[in-house]
Amino acid sequence: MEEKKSEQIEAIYNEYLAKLNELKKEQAKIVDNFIKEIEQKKLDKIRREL
Amino acid sequence: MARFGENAATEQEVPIEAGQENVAESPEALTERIQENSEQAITDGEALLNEASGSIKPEEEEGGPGLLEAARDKMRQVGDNIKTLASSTAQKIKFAIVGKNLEEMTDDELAERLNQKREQHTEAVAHSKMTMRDTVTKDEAGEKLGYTDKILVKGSYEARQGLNEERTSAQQEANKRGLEVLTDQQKEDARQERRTINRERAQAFQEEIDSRRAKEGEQEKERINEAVLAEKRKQIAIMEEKTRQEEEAQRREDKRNTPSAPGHNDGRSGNTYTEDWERL
Repeated sequence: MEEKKSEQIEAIYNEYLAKLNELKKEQAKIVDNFIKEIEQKKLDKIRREL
Repeated sequence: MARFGENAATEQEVPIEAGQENVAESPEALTERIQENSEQAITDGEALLNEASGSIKPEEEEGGPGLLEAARDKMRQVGDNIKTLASSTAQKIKFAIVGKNLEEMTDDELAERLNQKREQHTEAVAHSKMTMRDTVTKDEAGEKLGYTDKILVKGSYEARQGLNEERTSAQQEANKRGLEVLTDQQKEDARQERRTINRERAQAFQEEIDSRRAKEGEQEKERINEAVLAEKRKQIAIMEEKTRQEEEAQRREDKRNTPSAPGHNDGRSGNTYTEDWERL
């Protein structure tokens, strides 16, 4: 019984880690997109000036 | 700050916390670590965005502040999802610790579990409907609905689905056992119905008692009246008898005092009645 519970808890924890990893990727993507958008704006500005 | 053209963030290592080898630690410690990991992830995400925006001068960069604000909103949303994940994981661990398999539960435990899941699911549905319909935050919706359980306050679609599954399994186990588990509302309805029936019964009983008492009262009155009448009759009979005896005595007295008729000796004077009569 105890062993079964430990396995269950382990599965829950692993699932948590996997989901957390996905969410961290989402965070990284938000930052990445933000940087790209800013860079794009800079590029557009330079083009306009040229 | 990432350089132009560099896919800065996505190329970063997204470390998965070394945790699997430590799963053997106590569930409480594990829950605490989940909480710490989650808070750290939120802080890291925000710090990453701050770092990326560090070189932007809003007043100089057209669209800069708008883009940054939008990115921060998205980051906050992910932060909320991380918090929800941490809470639901902690809850799952808690259930795994204290929970038995449904098959191992007694009927009472199963009924309690089913009702708990029904209630939580109802709350999660209400919460998710409110956040969808009313453009309120999850916290505001939780506050409006009066939830104290943070899991439900942060109730996401995922939490709702999870609760639905748990509720369904508990229901299936109850069905398998032929166990009828009433919801709180059904219990209240049944209580109300019992109260109504009992009230009606009590009322009918009271009416019966009143009617019996009234009837008994009538009978008692009649009985008393009859007893009074009987007593009166008895007294009349006594009076009549007394009168009769008095009259009899009077008659006898009168008879004694009345002279005998001629030729008749009444035995008192020694003379015959005729002699007494003649003397008169």
